[in-house]
Amino acid sequence: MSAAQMAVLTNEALTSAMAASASCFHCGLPTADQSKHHIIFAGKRQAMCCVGCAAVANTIINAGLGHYYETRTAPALSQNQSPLRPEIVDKVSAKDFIKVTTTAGSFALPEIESQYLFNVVTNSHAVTSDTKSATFYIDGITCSACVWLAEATLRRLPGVKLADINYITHRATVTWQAGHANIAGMVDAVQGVGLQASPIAAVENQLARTNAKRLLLKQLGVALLAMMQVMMFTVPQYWSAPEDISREARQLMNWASCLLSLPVVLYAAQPFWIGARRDWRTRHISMDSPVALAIAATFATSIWSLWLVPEKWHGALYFDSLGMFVFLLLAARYLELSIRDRALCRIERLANAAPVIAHRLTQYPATRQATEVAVATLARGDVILIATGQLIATDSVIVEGVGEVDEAIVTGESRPVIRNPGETLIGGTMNLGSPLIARVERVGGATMLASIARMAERALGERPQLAILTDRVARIVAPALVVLAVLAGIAWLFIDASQSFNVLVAVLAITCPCAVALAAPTAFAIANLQAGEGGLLIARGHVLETLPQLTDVVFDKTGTLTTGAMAISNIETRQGVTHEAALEIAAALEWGAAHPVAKSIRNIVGNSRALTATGLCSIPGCGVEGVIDGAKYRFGHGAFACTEIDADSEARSDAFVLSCNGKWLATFHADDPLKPDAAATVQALQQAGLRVHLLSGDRSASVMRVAHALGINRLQVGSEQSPAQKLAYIEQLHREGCKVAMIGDGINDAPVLGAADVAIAMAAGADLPRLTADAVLLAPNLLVIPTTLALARSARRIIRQNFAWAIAYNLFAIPLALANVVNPAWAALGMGASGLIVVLNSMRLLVSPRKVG
Amino acid sequence: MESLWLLIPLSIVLAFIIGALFWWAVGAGQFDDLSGPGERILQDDDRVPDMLDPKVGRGR
Repeated sequence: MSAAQMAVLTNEALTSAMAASASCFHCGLPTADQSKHHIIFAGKRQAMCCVGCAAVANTIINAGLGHYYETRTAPALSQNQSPLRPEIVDKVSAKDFIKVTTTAGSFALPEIESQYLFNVVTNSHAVTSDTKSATFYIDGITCSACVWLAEATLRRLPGVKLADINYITHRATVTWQAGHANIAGMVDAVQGVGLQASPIAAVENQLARTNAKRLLLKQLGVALLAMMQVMMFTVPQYWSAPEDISREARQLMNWASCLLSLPVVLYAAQPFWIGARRDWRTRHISMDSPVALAIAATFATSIWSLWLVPEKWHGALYFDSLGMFVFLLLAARYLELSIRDRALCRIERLANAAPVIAHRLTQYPATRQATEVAVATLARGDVILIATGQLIATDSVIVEGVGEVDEAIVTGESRPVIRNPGETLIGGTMNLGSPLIARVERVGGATMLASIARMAERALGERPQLAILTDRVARIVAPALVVLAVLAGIAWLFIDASQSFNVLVAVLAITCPCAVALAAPTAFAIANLQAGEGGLLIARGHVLETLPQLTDVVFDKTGTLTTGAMAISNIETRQGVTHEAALEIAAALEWGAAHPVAKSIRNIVGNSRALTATGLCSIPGCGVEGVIDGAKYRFGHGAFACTEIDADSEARSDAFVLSCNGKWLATFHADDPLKPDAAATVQALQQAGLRVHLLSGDRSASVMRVAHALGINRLQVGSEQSPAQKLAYIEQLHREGCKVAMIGDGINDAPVLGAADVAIAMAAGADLPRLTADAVLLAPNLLVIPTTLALARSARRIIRQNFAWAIAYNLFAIPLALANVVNPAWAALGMGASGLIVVLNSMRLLVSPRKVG
Repeated sequence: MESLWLLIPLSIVLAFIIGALFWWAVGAGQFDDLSGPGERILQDDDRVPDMLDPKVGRGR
């Protein structure tokens, strides 16, 4: 039951519904034997489904936190399936349950605990030198009452000074007196109330980001406040006749404006001073320098005229425009920082999603005694136990049990997927089904999650060509504009010396290329974030830029448009050869092969290995050859396997022929069904104006069948293509001036993918670090590709609008500033607003993620 | 007009006080989590006074 559904019910209705039906008071699951476990809450006897829930509920009520049950809007996570075998659960008492199941033990070691400690820098009085802090991810939160429960539990631990949980990120930051509490105790306590606390390592990066964001927000606030207050003093002066306000009152208001502008110049404008100083040191002028110069010049002019030429105040005081200029520029920066921060948070969530504790079955399969170990100590080949509701420790392959896995964190797909023995589990995803036993495949930095986080981080760090280009342009244009401003100032000395400084300031303010510099990066950052949330991992910075330029999309059939679960549908054999015998020979030949047909054959034969083939040799695109008991067998396409093949089975495209010493033995007919969304995807791409191609190593008839079913033009279909031919095909398209995207599985067609302008790989079960792809499709949904294409196109449109706006504004405003038509106040307003408009325009991408299909 | 001599300095003082308050509030993390405190109010339990007593509820 989802939290949203449950939230519809009121608390009372929920509580009474749980009590009335035979469901567990704690977790809401059906209760088999009501008399077995129960607790007393608010004077009433409440049924419990298992000893685990009873233990947790008892802990909560005895701790005086029973309020939780009154205010919750969703049932708690079940304790029904503990990491222990059910028979043990039945034997232990509720009292011992928490002791037996706790995962806190590993954190008691000082060297492990120290990895999670950090020194927090806040203004809080509670933080002194002998305090320690750690961040936890609280798992199992189903509603806001859980947050309260976990917070209350942590705060009441002896020695704990602060415990705060962020409602959105489910992160707890705990600060405690050194020596009076420890991480193990906290993990233990939180587990006692039925939740999981996992400490998160390396939060320094996040702390630095939080501090940077806070600093910018402070500066933004100061600038806004000063701007508003200064306007209170200046606007009446603009609007009133000179005799309406006395000279003394004007003087007072102008000095007040000056005083209020001081924090703006000294504090709020700091980012620009710092930027200008960096520019000075590195001898590279960025957009910060003209801004800093404009601020300095505006402030200096205003002070000078306030001090020396009181009679000319009306024209030469720019305190109001100064505040506005700084505020608008900072607002654009703040929005940009927020977008980046959101993208980084997503990456960090991925990187920290894997749990820190695993249950290792050291003596599997002899006994199933689970020992608790830190995930860091797991090695490839270890066997682990994953209980229901637990996060999967690391990438592993199921040995026993059928899992129902929630892979939303990776794929964005909230429906759980079924995972059978032999299939891969992704570390950090959650097992919702029955307990699983799995063998560890990859650990540490090699895991899928770590790879995704790394790739996403790299893509975020890589600037698109367009951004690099605008940066370069800004670097050339910015100093040129400073020179232009100075020249204009000098020119005006000869035209009207009194206006010279005005012109200098106006040109400086108006020409700052901030809007140009912000145009591309903001839109790309948002599009990147949106694509990632949709299920397409952008691994290289150029992808979003290249996607809208595409003219052709090339699909690799097997496993891309079809499910790849090639199933043997029919077997024809020669007289005297049984189906079983043929299958066994085929299984021996295809032993260890990852080809879908091989998998299908193994599924039929099972894991028993009756025959062993020697001298196995696979010929790509043809088949496999091997020797069994002295006879040479071939298994593959008809022409390769034997020459005496009849025309009928030749025509049946998905036929695999088994031959013995060149003589036909059997024909296996296989079917590879299309993915349910393949047709919609191809259609969406075609509607977007792209030519869709299909290249496959499979035989002509089967490829044509797929092409026909999907509505792909016959001329754009290539069958029986070797990797070299596919490469040539793409190079031919390039020669015709096309921009090509290739969608493949990322391993077999690595060189072909490398040749395409955008290579999109399917992640399903693939070895992510080995993928040569610019983007990886993580969602089990092909429609993500046209959706992301539409997103990239929106991004391009928005970037074009941004550039058009920024350049048009500058072209329009510079002559006005040079001609002294615009005074510095309007110049500052225009410039600041143009930058903000660019960022806000980019943010439209956040509001309208375009969906296809 | 004379009132301006009082009101303008007062407005500056007020602006600085507001600025300082905002500065403190941001520094103390008041703007880090904008939805949590609203939820927290609903969870604050003021009906059980022994919540505050550290001796109660440590039975575990």
